[in-house]
Amino acid sequence: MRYFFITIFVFCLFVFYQGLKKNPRDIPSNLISQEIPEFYISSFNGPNLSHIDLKKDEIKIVNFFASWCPPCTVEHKQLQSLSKKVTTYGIAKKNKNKDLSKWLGKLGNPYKNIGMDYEGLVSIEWGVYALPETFLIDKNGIIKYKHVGPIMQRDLEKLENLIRKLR
Amino acid sequence: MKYIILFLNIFFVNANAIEPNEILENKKLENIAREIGKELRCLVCQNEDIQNSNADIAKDLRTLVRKKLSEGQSKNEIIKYIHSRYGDFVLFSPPLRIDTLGLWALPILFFFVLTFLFFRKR
Amino acid sequence: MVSEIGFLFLTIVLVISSFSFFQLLISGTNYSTDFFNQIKLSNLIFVLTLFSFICLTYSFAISDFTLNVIASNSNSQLPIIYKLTGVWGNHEGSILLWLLVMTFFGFIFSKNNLASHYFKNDVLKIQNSLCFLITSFIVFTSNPFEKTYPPPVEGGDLNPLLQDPGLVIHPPFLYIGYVGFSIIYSISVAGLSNQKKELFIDVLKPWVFISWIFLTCGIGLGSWWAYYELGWGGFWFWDPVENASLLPWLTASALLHTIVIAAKKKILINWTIILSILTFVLSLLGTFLVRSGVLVSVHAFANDPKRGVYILLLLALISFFGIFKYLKNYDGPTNPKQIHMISREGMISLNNIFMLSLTFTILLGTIYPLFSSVLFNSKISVGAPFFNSILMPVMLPFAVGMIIGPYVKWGKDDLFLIFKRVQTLLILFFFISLLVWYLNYKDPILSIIFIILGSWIIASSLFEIFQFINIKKRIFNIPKKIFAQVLAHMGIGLLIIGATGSTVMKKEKIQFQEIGESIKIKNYDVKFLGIKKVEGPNYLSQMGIFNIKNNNKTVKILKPEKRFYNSGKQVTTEAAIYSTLLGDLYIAIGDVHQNKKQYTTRIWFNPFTIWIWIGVFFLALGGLFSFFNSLARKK
Repeated sequence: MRYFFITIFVFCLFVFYQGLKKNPRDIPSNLISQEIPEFYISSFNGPNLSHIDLKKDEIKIVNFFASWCPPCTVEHKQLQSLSKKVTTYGIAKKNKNKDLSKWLGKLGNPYKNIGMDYEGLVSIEWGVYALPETFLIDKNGIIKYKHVGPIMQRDLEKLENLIRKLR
Repeated sequence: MKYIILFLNIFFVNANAIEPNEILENKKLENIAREIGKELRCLVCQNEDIQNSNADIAKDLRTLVRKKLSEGQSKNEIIKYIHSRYGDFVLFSPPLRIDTLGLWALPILFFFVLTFLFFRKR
Repeated sequence: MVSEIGFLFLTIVLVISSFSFFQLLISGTNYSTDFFNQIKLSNLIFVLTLFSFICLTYSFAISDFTLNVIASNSNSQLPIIYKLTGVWGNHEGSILLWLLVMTFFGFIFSKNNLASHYFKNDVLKIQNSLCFLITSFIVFTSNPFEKTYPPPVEGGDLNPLLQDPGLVIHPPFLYIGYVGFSIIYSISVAGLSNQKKELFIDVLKPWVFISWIFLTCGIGLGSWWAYYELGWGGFWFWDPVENASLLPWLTASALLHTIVIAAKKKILINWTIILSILTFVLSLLGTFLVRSGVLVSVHAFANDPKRGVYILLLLALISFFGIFKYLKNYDGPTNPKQIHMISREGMISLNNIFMLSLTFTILLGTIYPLFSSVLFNSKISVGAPFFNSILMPVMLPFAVGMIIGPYVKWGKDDLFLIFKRVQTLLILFFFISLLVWYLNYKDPILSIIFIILGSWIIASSLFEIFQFINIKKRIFNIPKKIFAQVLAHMGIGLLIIGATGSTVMKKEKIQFQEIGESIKIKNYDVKFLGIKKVEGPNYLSQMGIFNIKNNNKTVKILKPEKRFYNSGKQVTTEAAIYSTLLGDLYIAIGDVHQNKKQYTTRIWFNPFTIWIWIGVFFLALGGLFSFFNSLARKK
């Protein structure tokens, strides 16, 4: 009887130890391996953006961002580098057109098309809770991977590897 | 320093964050919105619900909940929708599944084992 | 210079306490082959730890930014009181405080004259070994005297939320509480190898009470601080760190009840030992959960997996030693008889079962996300809804226990006889229920039920005193232990009423209030007079002035603030509270609305809130009576 309790206790210690290796702030996306959600929104300076555009057979990334979000400015250089290797779409959350225009003018525009999510509803549809967030989508319109937070240099390599694997 | 950064999140939390213009006119609906709010976690905060957090995502979700309530959706439908977008982590009470069964079953088991231990014939 | 000396003291403590540790490894808890006098060692390590702590405090006071902890957590603009208390506002300093309390308890224990010299030596050998383990943790992973190069000109800052009187005393009380449980661990484990097991119970009792009292106050202070500081009147959030402090409190409360039986009837001694070991293990577990970065919590200190592994090792070591010693010396239940459920022992056993089940459930809820993440790779949350839903049903058996328990006789009793004893009380209950329902019929049924429950507990306790005076015809010689139990249970009753009122019966008014506008809440008129800009020692405050009227007479001027701290871009909300026995009027001021004449104001009326704090006070007072009772020498 008491050895039963001891075994349980040892098991708990083992789990705690394993738990130390994990990051409790990691929240995995609930949409991995699912089709991209349906949406239709107006675009910044091109044709309207919808989920149909994102289903075309090529690998693409969708970057949720805003001009008023400092980490988005931080990742911009990496994003530009990434956009040369893979088609990059952007969705600007709660951004005014003129603010966005100023921001892109200063930093450059890596996006093939930018959807304007004025209400923030599309962001919620995609399970976005912080900015920036970047989704990797395969040829069939399935979400394969999500990166939360700015894409730094080391994240760039990981993303490029994933893209290579999908091709 | 890390300690301070970790703590900074508290500042999203230090006041019941509902603004007067978020509150619905319909008292009944507002009460349901509050009930829902207590069940939903602010995803960028440290263990707070969306009612009491100043974070963007908390405000967005509060607005969404009230919007959907005004459109006539039920409490369960709304929570189901948000759950489908954000996963288990957004719910403060985990859904009942095989892997969460233990949370409810183990305490009951524990209770009976203890009762047996205390009152058994020696 | 001072910091170097401080570190030197610490290393000497490490060396000296290692003597105890190795002594323990070599000769176990057997006095005869000991080389060192553990009593002298424990005095020495206390004094040296104290000096080390003083050195750290001094460094904080002079804002010595060459030390990493001070550079990160303190600031020259801080008022002196917060420079000093900043010592424990960070991980390294607070662990040093842990050690100080642990060595202090060893020191006081050595002066104890309830125990024999031999037993004291055995206990202190274990206590000193515990100190060795914690000191090694400090020296190798969490050194408060670690330097930073180059030393900055100005420090980070103490988190503004911590710059508050409530948070000055909350940690020390808390630590004295659950670090104090280290001595009950040492006494119990030493008592295991002791020939006459029963005797150690009398030695153990005062320590259980004193630690429990401090922990009760510590938790109460934390809740009280959260209530007035966090700006919206909440006082318990089921945050992992709060749970971590509640778990040892629950097992210590069970221990408190068990030790009463053990001392009187010489049964459940094994349970006493198990609970003593368990309580300290839970204190350590709590420390692990909070400081290792394994859980997300508002209280969590800086994440460092290396520290996490070390604490886990200590936790494993200390738990296994306790379990090992218990199993080695276990020679069957001390009581050959079965415990009848309808008896005082039975009631207390039931109480223990419910308390331990509650402890287990809260622990489970707190660590379940971690387990789920490791075992199933899923990410779930377990929060307030879960904990509230398990707490509320279990309050009922507790309430029944507190109400009926004192009227149940020892040994074996009869339900019918019990009923006859409490007949008058039950009639009283009926009228109380009617009264409560009449006064609060507009409120949710749940709140009425719990308020009735709380009232019954208070009525039952008062009835007990009344009966005692009636039967024994004396008022001034009520035994301490009856008084202790009555006060403590009344405390719980008050707590239940206060907590229920403050949460379920809360009234709210949130609006854009214009200067000059009056808002009506409950029977108060809250008039917004204006905004004043005030300069504080290290902040700028936007202060709202509110005139509170009751029946057209001004009862109070409330001044809630929004503080903007100089050192960073940090903002805090300081609520203003007007407390009465019937409830608190609670005001928080928000941002200005577009036209600068309106501000977001949040006004709440929280019924009976003050009864929560009064309840905690009664609890502690009851514990104090028990404590003094346990000090008295028994023949």
